[in-house]
Amino acid sequence: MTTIQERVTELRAEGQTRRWTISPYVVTVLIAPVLFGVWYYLTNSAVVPSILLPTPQSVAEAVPRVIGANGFSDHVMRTVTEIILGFALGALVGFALGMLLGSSIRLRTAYLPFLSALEAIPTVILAPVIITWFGFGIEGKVFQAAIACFYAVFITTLSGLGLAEPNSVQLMRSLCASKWQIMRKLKIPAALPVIFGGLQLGATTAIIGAIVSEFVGSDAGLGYLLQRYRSGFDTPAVWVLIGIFLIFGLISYLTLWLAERKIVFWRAADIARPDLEKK
Amino acid sequence: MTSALRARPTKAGVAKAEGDGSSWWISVGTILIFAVAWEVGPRLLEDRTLFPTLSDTLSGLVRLVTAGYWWEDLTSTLLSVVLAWMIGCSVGLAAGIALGTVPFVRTAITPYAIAVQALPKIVLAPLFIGWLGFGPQSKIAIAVVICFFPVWIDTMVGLALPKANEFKLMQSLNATRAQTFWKLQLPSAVPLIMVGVKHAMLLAFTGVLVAEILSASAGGLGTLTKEFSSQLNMPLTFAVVVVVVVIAITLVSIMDVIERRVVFWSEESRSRKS
Repeated sequence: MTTIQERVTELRAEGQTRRWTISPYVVTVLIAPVLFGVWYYLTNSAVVPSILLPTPQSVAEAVPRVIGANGFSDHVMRTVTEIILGFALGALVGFALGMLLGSSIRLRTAYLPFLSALEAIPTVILAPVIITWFGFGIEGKVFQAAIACFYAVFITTLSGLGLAEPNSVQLMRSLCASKWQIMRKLKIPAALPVIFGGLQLGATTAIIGAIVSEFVGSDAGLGYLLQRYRSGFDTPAVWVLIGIFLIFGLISYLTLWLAERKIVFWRAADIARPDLEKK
Repeated sequence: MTSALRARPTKAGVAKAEGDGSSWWISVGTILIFAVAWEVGPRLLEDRTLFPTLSDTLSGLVRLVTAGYWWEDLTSTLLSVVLAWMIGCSVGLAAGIALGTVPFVRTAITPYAIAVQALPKIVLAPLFIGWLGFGPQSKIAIAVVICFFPVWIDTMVGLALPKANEFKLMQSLNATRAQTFWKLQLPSAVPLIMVGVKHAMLLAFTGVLVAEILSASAGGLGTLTKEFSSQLNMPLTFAVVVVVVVIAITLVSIMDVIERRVVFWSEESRSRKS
């Protein structure tokens, strides 16, 4: 007769043998070379013509050509400046308006019908208008990036401010906390995790805004460069630039992720275990 | 691990005030101030070529609607958006279910999903135009690539939402994998999937517009905006922008109604109903 303890150990052992024997991360590492191999085979065997998809070798060869080209660093700086300025502007305005509406029930009720409309507007339709207004310079790109990222930060700030527990608000009130104290010590900390989600999405849309604006009409920047290489049918160079944009995206993603872990440190445990979050 | 892939923010949490009827005048007042500012501002700037007034825009709208040539552009844009949205949602849903039901695959694929999420997919637009030409195919292809992503991620994350205990309960009741999927995972994923599906609609619209703006001969509302603005015909440009905004708001409202119907049980839609 086995004790319960023994039976449990038995069952555990049984469970363990049925578990996956290879780690999923092995597969993660393997996917990249497989994709690369498929790309190499398809292009080198001319199944896919090189004008559509360049060979890996030609893309590798294009890297020093693109990066070493005259004024490349200027183009990079231009695009980075556009994205950072536009993101900062849009996020600031979004945060400020979110705070304004978040602190006044009356304003919130009044503007609720407009929120869906704001969400719906595809800001890219303004790209030609903005080019006409601001010209090919940097100002229009900053503006486009700002309006592209405004909504995400605005709506997350607004909805985040409503997240504080009503009981906690009441406790603060009964302790004679001022409105500003409740905001600073309770509501904003409660909203921060959500706001960071908005910032992350906003960073992506700011990048998109800047690039679209550069595509439509620009005198410098990586989007401009990409269009120029494409019209010269230099496909490998276009792919190098796409790679650079991917790096841009990853950098902005990682920066905000690290900032979130530093600033919203108390949520790190929840973030690591989404299955523990209450639904 | 999937937590690195976020669900998109919604306006779900925006608290509503109960029974405060005294705020309608703020809404109406804002609209009035906005209208007056739009009408007077350009006159003060004395630059009505670049900044058309409200009445200029409205007369432009009348000219546009009565002109006749724009119906083709309108239907072309709408058709492309709806087609791209349907394809994108199907692909996203299929990929999400395929990857979301197998934890092993989900963990393995997450770094790549993050990479795809980080890439501003709009940079692929010039490539697609190069591959597929200026026709509707390239428009639709770009929009599909842009809009399938949120559906995919939201499906994947949503299927993993049930807590460990809930899975254990299903197991202890001898549920098959299919039963666990249909009765536990899918119902808890649907609210999130609907958010993704709604965003996909907006992204598809954005994708189609960008493609139309970039390829001058594609036709469509994006092309119209670009042509009018390059002719410095700002009243007509603004008229097209107004049309685009109206379409976008209509699409989102339709999606809101569908969402409320489909996920009638979620608290979010219940609070929205009231």
